[in-house]
Amino acid sequence: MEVQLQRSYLEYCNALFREGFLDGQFVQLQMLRDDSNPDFVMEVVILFFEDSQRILNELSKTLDEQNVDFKKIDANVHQLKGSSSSIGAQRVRNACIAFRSFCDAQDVESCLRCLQQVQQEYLLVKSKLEALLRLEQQIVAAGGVVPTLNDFS
Amino acid sequence: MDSCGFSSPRTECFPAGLRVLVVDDDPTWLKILEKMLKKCNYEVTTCNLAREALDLLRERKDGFDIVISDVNMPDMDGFKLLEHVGLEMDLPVIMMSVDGETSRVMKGVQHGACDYLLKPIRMKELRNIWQHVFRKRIHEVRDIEGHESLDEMMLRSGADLLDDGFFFGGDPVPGKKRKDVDHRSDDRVGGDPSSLKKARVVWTVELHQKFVKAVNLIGFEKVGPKKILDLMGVPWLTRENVASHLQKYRLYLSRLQKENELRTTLGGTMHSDLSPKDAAAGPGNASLQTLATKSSKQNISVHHDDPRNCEGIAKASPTPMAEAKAAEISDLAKSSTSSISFDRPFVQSSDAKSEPTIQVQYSWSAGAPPLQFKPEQKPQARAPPVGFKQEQKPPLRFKKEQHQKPLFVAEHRFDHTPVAMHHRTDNKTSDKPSPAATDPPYSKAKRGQPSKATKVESTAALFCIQPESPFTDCHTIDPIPSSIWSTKTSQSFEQNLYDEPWHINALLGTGSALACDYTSPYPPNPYLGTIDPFCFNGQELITEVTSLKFPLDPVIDEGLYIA
Repeated sequence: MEVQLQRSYLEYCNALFREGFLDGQFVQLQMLRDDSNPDFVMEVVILFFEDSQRILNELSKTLDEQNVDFKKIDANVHQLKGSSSSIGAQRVRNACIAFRSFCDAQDVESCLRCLQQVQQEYLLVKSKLEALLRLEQQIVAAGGVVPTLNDFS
Repeated sequence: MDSCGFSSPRTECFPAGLRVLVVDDDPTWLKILEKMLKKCNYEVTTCNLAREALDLLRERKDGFDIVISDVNMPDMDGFKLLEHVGLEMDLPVIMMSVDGETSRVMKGVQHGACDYLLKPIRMKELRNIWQHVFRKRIHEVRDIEGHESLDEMMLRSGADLLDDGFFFGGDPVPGKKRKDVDHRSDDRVGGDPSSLKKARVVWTVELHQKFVKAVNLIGFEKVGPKKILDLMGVPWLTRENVASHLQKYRLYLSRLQKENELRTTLGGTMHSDLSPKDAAAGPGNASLQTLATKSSKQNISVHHDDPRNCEGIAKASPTPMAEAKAAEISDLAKSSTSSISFDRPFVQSSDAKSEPTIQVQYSWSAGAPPLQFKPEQKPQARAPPVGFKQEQKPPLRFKKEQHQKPLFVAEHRFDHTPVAMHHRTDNKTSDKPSPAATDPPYSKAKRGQPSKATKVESTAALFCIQPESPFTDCHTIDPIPSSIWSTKTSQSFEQNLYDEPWHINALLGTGSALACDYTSPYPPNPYLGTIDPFCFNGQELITEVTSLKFPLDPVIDEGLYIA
């Protein structure tokens, strides 16, 4: 049973890598998991979710203001870029990079669009990660070991 | 990580236990970095605010070895923090950012960052941060001691001095002070050791000689830090100082021994002078002395007992020196290990010559040829930690010999110690050429080596002078080191090495680590047993190395490998 789950897990991971949702950094995280901290990846991912949500809210708020503070936006996007890179959320990261360039241009419209883009990517990767973690939990529950991923980077 | 086996604080298993302060406002990164650093066996403290970090640093003045900080933080600019830390605490600071723009990196460097890492940060990058701590310490020592030998050693050998912690005798002739390379806290120079930031013990020639005398009196087999301390009669010296010094000494001796063995095995020209007589001389001191006498040309022993010698030897014609050194080394090794059967095989071996010198540099294992290096490496590796704590004084410096083969030494150093690393980046080029220049044999050795890995190669070359010989092993070792410091370049290699927690460190710092685990043909060495000084799991490294070792043409292979 767990073999099946493990296989599904690997396939799923590979797909995520292929589609660019996750990159090698995620594998690094997996490698950090050990007996003393089996839930490490999950904890990190949860932190990422919380932090990202907070930043996205901030961005929304800032862009909503009359006088948009682009500096603040830039700082926030930079932050999001950083945290997305921490778990390997490649597409979110790329969206942030694009966002920043529009920020430089001080174009509110484009920034709003970018924000939307980033939000979308974030939600996507969030659901993927959640699915991944669920699979992991299933594997462990079935008595198996979560397979180690190969570093794609 | 292997246990250091030594009870001394941190220094024993350097870089394990390195106290790192991580500052990052990103909670995800903070958590990840903490985990990664813990995996490197570092002691981690995290902070998500720069202000907090500064307070913490001020509170615990001597509580940290290195600071890693993000550039963008809400409450304070990372660069500002960097400045503060540099000014107030004088700790090495590594900057991190997801933004790798050249201008930012430049700013970081301008503000004094010793490194700038790009996020996402890999584990392997973190594994090597200890080099910055080590480097700083070496420079501090240099400042304090103002010894040219130290400087030279540093420059050439990548400051392995500290690594080996043995600045045996050979060190700069007293009175011949060299201006510090680093003109760091000049006010610290000349101050008494205890006034040093970390109260390092400077092992002067005299001090070391006292040490050796004590060791010989007690009998190398029965020696123990407490006994030595009692005999030495130096009031301000602590048991820990002696303990770590003893450790280094042992490593040195074992390295010499290994080298000798290697040499013998390699069929190098054993220096008969080194022979059994020296071995019989008795552990430690005896051997050293014999070596010293024997190989006046050889610096190996000379360093120990005869700083002058070392110097001279180092400077002397490379070849003869090499020989001498090798002999010395072997002698030393022999005697010290009291079972030294090899003559300084290292020296002998074609390139071995250079080895010896190099070995010396290591401080103990001047010439440890490739194989030798491995084990020797360890000692050396250990040295850094020891070195850290102690401002190794010339007496211990085998550097003298090293001088001879700066190339060699440096090479070696690079391999395992931060010095190497740092050489790699900075002095690589400089180091390489110089050693080569001074050490013809070395160049010989190098032949097989492509110039890739900066230092590593050279060292590898040195070590691998004898492709067929155990040196090749060394060579293998070298690759590792090179890979280590060529982290940036040899990704693949790094992968291998870095994957092993301490291999890299082992390689770099403690070459001996490799040696230790290395299933060398050398007779079991009491010290070798403890060679694991840096607690790195050279095992894996060794395995890798061993697989590489003795290739007929390891040098070349290694070179490629490394590259």
